[in-house]
Amino acid sequence: MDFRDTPEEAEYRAKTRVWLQEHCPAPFPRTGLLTGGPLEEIDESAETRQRRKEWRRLLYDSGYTLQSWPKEWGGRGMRPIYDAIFNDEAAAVGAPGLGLAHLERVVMMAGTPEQREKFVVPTMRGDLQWCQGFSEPSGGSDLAALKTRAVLDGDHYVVNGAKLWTSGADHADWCFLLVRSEPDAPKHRGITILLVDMKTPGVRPGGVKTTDAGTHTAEVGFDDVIVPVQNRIGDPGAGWQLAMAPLAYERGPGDVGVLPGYRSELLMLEDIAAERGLAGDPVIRERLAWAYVMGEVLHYDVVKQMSLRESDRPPGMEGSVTKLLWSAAVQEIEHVVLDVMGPDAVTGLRPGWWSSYFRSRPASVYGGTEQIQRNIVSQRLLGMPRAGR
Amino acid sequence: MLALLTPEQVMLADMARDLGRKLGLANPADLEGADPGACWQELARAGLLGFRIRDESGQPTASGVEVAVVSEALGAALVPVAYVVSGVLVPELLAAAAAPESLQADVAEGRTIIGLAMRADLTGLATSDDLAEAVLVGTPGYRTVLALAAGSGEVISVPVDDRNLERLDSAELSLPLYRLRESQGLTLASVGSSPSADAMDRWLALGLSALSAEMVGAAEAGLRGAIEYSKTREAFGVPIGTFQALQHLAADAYVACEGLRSTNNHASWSVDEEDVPDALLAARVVKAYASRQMLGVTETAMQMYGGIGQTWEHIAHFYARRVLLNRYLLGDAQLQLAAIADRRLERLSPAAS
Repeated sequence: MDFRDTPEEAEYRAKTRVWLQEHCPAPFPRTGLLTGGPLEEIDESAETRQRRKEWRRLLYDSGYTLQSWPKEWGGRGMRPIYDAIFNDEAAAVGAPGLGLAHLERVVMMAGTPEQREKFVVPTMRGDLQWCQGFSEPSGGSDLAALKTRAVLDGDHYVVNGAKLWTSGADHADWCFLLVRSEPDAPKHRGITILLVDMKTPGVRPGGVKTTDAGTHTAEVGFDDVIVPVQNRIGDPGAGWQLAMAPLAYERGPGDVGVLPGYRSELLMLEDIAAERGLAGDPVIRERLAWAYVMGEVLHYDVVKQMSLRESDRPPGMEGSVTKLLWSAAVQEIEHVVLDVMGPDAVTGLRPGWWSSYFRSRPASVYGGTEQIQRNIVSQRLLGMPRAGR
Repeated sequence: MLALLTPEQVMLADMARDLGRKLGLANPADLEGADPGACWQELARAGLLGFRIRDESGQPTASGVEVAVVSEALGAALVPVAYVVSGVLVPELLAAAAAPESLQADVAEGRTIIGLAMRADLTGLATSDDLAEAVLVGTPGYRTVLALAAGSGEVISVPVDDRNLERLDSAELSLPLYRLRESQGLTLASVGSSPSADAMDRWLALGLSALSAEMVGAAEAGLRGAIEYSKTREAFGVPIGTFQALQHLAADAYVACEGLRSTNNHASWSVDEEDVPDALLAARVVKAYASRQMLGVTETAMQMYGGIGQTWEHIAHFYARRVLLNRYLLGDAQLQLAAIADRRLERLSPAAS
């Protein structure tokens, strides 16, 4: 047990800190569904997107993006802890961190040399923007029941269907799409991965307005969309197995920047409580302290997950524990928002805060609902029997 | 950074679990004829009572992490002793007071058992002024309890004998609590110097972390028992463990246990590695979480057992009883949260706190 940096880690941290201070003089605006706080502070403008794109390019050119990739993939083979340190330090200056690049990993693992060349480096450099076409309007939690059809016709597939929660679709260049190509196979064996150019005729992306009044996610319709066979990743019917590995990665809140946002929202709330003359109110003090406790519990669970990865134990079902701690924390802090603001959050005298409350509600839905996570914990981790088996 | 137990710490946990299986209560009936003194000797022989003895350089021989590992294992096994009080907090207090080495060695080797005189609300040590209301906690068999001298804060020993002990009708059946029948005229003796404020804060941090570990040990062991039961107990023609209503109760309870353990990894490590204020903050965080969440875990286990879990003869309530006691020892969630708020909101206005 050691929560301290090793000398090598400390040296990397110090160098990274200097680099970040030099290259990110002003924090990036808050963005997306994962961020609490007033809606006005969430900036998803074209300028911000452009700034993020340039930041990705800079991280790639400076050698950070691929630092933890294996050498045979063109990386530097550094331990994953260095990505976590980078993200820590990036959060401190308000800069976006290193993503997990989970879709890119699938292409590296299962793609052809041509596919790797065409997609992976341009994506890591930020030249290509992606969206993830997994969930469907009709499927909900039963992801493997997806219905978007792909019919092979000579050298191409014809795709028809619809995807939901395809965040970023309205600005994406490509879609990482799960389709049903083998309708007669069992449901998990009939799924295939296609990479779809969003400019292809018949691809219809559109923003989805969520209950917080923001438009942080999107849907995509596919009408007779032609996708060349060479854009298929892996074998027909192998898509489910290939796609599940990245989902295990996707669950880690340490990687998607939940914690820095949580902590800055708590600081903001403490300031507002003081401003409202509530800093001495014992009930409010207890609520704020409890929000701090929940954030710490989430943090140290993430640290444990990170340590497991660091000791070469791949992310497993424990990710569901973390996801449940995560959704509980981000929803609890919004209840503290209501306690601190009182009716002002509802009347609009504190503008934008009801939006913050509603923005926390999907946390127990996206990335697998709380109910699905509890099924995973009870059945896969605790060995409780499934019904009907 | 690697926030995982070392291979040595994993071995220690295995050893403590093995010992726990041998010494712990499997059924309420085991309480009859339980021999805390014999259990204590076994723990002493295994070296588990000497963790906080200082070596030549003044460092404890084992860290807060080892303490938490053993506390969790013994809590899980329902060993009918006060490991955290008599095996951790007493030795740590003696070390902080620079008590005579011979006394420290006697405690570490199990030759002398010592308890603590706690304030009636269990939030901290009693002083010589409030011995009349003090609640005595410790592994049964102690002839001495420690308290603080009013004013000077010196650690003092208070002699107790059976005739002067009044057993309380306390919830934790496997760990009897007492009061002094007569608190006047006792010979109070100093056992060393007054510990520094920092030493007392580290003592508190160690205790909060160890008590939390014991709570998660007990709570999760109770839960695991209920989960095993749910796999074989049938209702409506199927094992009750197939019902999502029970699965989701169990999942939430387990998530709380995992969250606590992850957080206590940090708190227990911080005891010896962090600056005092940060070590204490980390310990308060974990104790606040434990005190709020672990009783619910034991309630889930009792619920999953259904009617049988409500009977005196079933072991399920014993896990709840240890959690109930620990919830208040060294301060409940409300107290910890108030202290956390003091620390967090300090930056805003000194007048607010």
